[in-house]
Amino acid sequence: MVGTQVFDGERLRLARLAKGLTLDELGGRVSATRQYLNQLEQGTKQPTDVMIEALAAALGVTERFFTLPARSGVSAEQCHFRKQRTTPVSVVSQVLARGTLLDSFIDRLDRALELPDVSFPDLPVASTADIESAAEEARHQWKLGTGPISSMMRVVENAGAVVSFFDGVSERVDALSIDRPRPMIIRSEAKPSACRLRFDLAHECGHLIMHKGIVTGDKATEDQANRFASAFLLPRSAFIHEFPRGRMLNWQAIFEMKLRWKVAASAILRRAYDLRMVSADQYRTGYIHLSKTGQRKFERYDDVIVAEEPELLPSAMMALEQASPGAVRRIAADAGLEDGMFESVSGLDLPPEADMDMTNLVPIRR
Amino acid sequence: MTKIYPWDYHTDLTEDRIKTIAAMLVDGRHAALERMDEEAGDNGWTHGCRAFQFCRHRILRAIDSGDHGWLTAIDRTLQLIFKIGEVPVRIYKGDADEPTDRTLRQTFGELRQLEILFPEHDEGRDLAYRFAVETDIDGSVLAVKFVGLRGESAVLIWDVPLDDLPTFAGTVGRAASESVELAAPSVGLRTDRDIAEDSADA
Repeated sequence: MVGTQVFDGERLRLARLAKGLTLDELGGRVSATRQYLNQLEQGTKQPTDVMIEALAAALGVTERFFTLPARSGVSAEQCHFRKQRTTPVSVVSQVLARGTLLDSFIDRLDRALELPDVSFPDLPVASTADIESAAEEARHQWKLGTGPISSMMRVVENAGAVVSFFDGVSERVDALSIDRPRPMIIRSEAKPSACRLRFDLAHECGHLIMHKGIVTGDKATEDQANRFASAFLLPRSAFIHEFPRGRMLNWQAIFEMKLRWKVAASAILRRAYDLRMVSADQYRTGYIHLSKTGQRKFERYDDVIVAEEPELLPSAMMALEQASPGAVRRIAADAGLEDGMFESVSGLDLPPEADMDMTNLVPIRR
Repeated sequence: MTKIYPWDYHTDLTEDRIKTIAAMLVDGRHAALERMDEEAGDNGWTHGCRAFQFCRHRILRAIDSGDHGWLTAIDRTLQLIFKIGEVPVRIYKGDADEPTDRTLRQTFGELRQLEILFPEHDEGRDLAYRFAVETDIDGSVLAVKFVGLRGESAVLIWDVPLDDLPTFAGTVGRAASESVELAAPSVGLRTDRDIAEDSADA
């Protein structure tokens, strides 16, 4: 029951977009017409308490969600993902809406916990040389040396980003990052290969470092982020030292590099081409070889490189829950999120509700 | 004197001018790639048409703008023949050293311009000058090459530098340092005092 607080149509729209529902689809779930729902979103009508209850249940939010003051939502220039001109507006809206909801939860979590300081340097770039320098500078700032990155996940999480998972977003979006006070990196593909995930994380890291306040998603900025990922994971000087030279591509050595650097053979090949260590012909021949041997999606050794899992959000939730059972649910509820919506925007389950029988027990501290 | 670079063949073919045209070709191809929509029915053929037209449009627009006095058109049709200075040039997509029959085709206008331009025995006279655009599997531009074709063989191939990085063919690099083991991200509980201090800061 919302009571005397005012129902905000914008909040309804936010939850509906985050769920990826059209007005018609939501109407089907709550037995209402699209025109009526549109009027609610526009603020020209106020819903009944029964309708508020039905909308909250259909969208996986609390009834209070609709009355919460709207924080400034995630805007287009804060959200980095590959947006082709053909990407439907509904997909973009869904990503922005989910980002806004996840951000509202993380903002509250951030106030309750000490999370790593956000330390992504701000390095705008104008040329390829700038991108190479930005990758070197980031490695230097984070004291990573010039060797293989042991865990790309830990690099971004130690730099303060929260890594999460959006379920059920269009296949057109594979990974994205959102530049908020606590940056978020989101995967939308359930199980990418370990190398692919590392590259995606480095790519998003590139956006957060190079594209602050810039609207991205076009080919030029995506290419810049790819180049950053490539340069960050395979530093120029070390790569030149290790890449096998010769008239023919030495696949055994390339796959040894893959195991050592945990970067896909296709990305190693591309790096070699970008640094002009192989010709365009050699690069294309190599790519065709990978394709013909069925390695375009799954490469040799993809199954032996262990996938990196996000740690920050799960361990933050666990720490809070241990210190204060039920606190995570309270924070989620404070942000207006119920189980369904929480899972959609974080890829995680809320901790089970505290056993009602335990509520009258007071833990004795030693 | 051995001729290596385009400007060795003709002084009108300067590095800056060739880079300017190459940038238009990259921009045109990539703009077309951004509009590629397989779900709507695009395929290699529709993309190829769009990519060529986008490149043609950028060159014609540059000619019409008058910003580049050295750039003019001989044939504005879909065959598109333009001139860098006085040298007639065309564009094609494909490997520089494997030109197709269509790539090799020369029109009367192009041949006449070459005859006027080069002395009778100059080796540049019987070349067909082309920009060859080489692409990756996904259609991104890998390389733009300025090519001089004699018959079916490319006697001049200049890989137009698309970025500002030096090449590393002769360098040996430096051995990588040890991989750095990273700790798990730290998470701590805020004390009441922290929260009060944060509020005071805000």
